Amino acid sequence: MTLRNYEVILVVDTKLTDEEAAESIDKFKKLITDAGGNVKFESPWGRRRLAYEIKKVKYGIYHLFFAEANGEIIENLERQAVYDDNILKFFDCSVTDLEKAYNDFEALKENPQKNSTLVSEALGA
Amino acid sequence: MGKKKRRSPNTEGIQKRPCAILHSGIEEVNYKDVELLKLFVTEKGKIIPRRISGLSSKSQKKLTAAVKRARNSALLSFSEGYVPQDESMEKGKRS
Repeated sequence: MTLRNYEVILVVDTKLTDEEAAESIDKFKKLITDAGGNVKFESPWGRRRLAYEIKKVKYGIYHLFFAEANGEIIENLERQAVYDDNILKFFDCSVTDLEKAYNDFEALKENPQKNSTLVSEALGA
Repeated sequence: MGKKKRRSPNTEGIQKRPCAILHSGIEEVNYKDVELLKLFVTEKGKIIPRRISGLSSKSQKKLTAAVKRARNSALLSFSEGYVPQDESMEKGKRS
């Protein structure tokens, strides 16, 4: 089975307690690992305001997986996410390098303004 | 007949603006980098066209892909563009 690199975002409802949220995140992690994929990195993004309301909810807990999987696994995840009422949003995309993607994201979390200040300086100049 | 011939624009003395994204040394435009994307999105959430944003063809293509991904992951709004994060946790608990 050939595995490709994917980056998966889960947005969990904030009305859940921390344990319940962790549980539903673990459920999806298990779905990947049980089907033969493996989650290389994991990164919580925490509570964020959604850009638009989903199911009348304004806030969500973002959680990212950087995983090796294949199309079948991802399709299954997507289906499960639709059925699951605790998951507000599911988004996945392929990445070329998992470790780079993970490190970039950690850097972004550390300093979210870094790139934008660089560009706005260039725009102003 | 009847068609007006377009004059080629006077490009003498006009300096080309460098592409802001390439100029600042950013290789990848990540869709999670909302702070960066919001610079190239209008208040209504539209992507600013290249003739105005002044980006290179490559950067603009990366940017549009990133904006579309961000919209799909609820990081950018389809109709309101960038929605700022509010720090007060109380407000959120009510929703």
